[in-house]
Amino acid sequence: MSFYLAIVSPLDSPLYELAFPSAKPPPPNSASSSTSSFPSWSTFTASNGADLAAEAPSNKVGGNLGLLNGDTKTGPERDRAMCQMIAHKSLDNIEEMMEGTGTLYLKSIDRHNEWTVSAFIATSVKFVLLHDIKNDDGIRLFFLDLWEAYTKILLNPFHTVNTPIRNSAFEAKVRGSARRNL
Amino acid sequence: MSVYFTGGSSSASPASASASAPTSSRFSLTSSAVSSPPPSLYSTSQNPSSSTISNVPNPNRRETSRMSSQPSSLQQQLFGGGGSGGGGSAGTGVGPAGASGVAGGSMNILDRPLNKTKGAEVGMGAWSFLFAEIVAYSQSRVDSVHDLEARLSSLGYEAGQRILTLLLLRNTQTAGGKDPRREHRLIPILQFVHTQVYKYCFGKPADGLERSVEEENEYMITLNQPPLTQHISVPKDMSQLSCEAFTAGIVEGVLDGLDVPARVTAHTVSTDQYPQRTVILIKLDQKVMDREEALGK
Repeated sequence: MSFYLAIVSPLDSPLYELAFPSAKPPPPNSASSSTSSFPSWSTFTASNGADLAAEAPSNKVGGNLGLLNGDTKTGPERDRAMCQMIAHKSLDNIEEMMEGTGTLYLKSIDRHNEWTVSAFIATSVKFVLLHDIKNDDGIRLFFLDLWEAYTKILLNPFHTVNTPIRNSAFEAKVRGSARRNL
Repeated sequence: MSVYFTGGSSSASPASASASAPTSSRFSLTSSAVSSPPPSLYSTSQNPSSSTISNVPNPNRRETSRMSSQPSSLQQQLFGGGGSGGGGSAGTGVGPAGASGVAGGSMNILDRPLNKTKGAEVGMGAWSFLFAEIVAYSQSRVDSVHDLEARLSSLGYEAGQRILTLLLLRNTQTAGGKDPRREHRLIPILQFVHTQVYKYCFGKPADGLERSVEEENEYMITLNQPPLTQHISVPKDMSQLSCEAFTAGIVEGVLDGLDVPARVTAHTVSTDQYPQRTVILIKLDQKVMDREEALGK
């Protein structure tokens, strides 16, 4: 029951990212899942169904990428890298979808194991949200709040378009909206 | 005047102190009672003389008090207010102010209403002077007409990007937040620019939207009396300059935000009736034409 949000520039560089837990109490049957609800390394399975996590240290799967090397990353860091990768992976889908539709809110556009990716096209930048529960209306309201906050940031002459957002008030706003809607 | 002295009395200049004993005591009295009438222990005959004496150091004092007070208040206006929250932290080197602005509980830019538009129109005069400054500033930094147009256009582009986001957000919020949309086909996008963007910027839709006869990928938006440049007279040796390049930049920014890359230029095409008639020429990228074809009619 957590979320990962990324704001992505037209050139696919992250402008803002944030991971946060859900404010709503988790359903009782999800207690069996691991303590960290981010997609763990073991959620990747090889084509033959084998769990890559067990073999990763010996086979060095992904080791040549450096970034996602399972040996060297600690838990939270690895989770973060995983979220980034899933979000990044879904960008192709988003771009493909947005050519053919005028809708800004693209719900459940991509899927990775238990994770669903929803996106919102705020003109040039994209909001990408990873979530593991279905909550279409809540996510739409969250995106609208986020959009308004982003627009206000954008209208500030001291903010350059497509540069990372480093603003504590923005983060507070996002977290507040997440508490209300997600 | 008494308010004045309270500011200066703590650092009363030696000149006024040595002038006469009564004046210096008067300073300390007025500083304790800010807006009270002159104390009764001074006779009326004494008052004018003391005021003339004390008036002498006044200009100096005004100078010093202003010098000490202005920087802080100016800084507050620039960085201490809500602007700091958004801007200070945007990597422009005023970072600390941003954090303090938020902590201080001052109104943050994110908490200000975005859609209070009623009565928020700006007068034509303010805009004309501002735009005149923009043109003059830009001109002092370029050597050719083409560069000047490019500079104005890039300023407009920045504005266009923001205008688009603002307009779409407002449209969505007016519609109650249900099903936020944007246009994604070429003709509706151009109509969006023609009506909504122009209406937002200039108070009325553009006068015409046409497709070029010769080129498939060229469109033109016409405005008979562009309000932006109505007070600008271009000198003869720069005759091909059109300050509407700024508008062209806005259009380009909006189109780019809607994923329609294009080259947009402005040209003055006078008619007898409208000597300032301006045509915004939109030359669309081939990518757009290909996509339009793929999406079908």
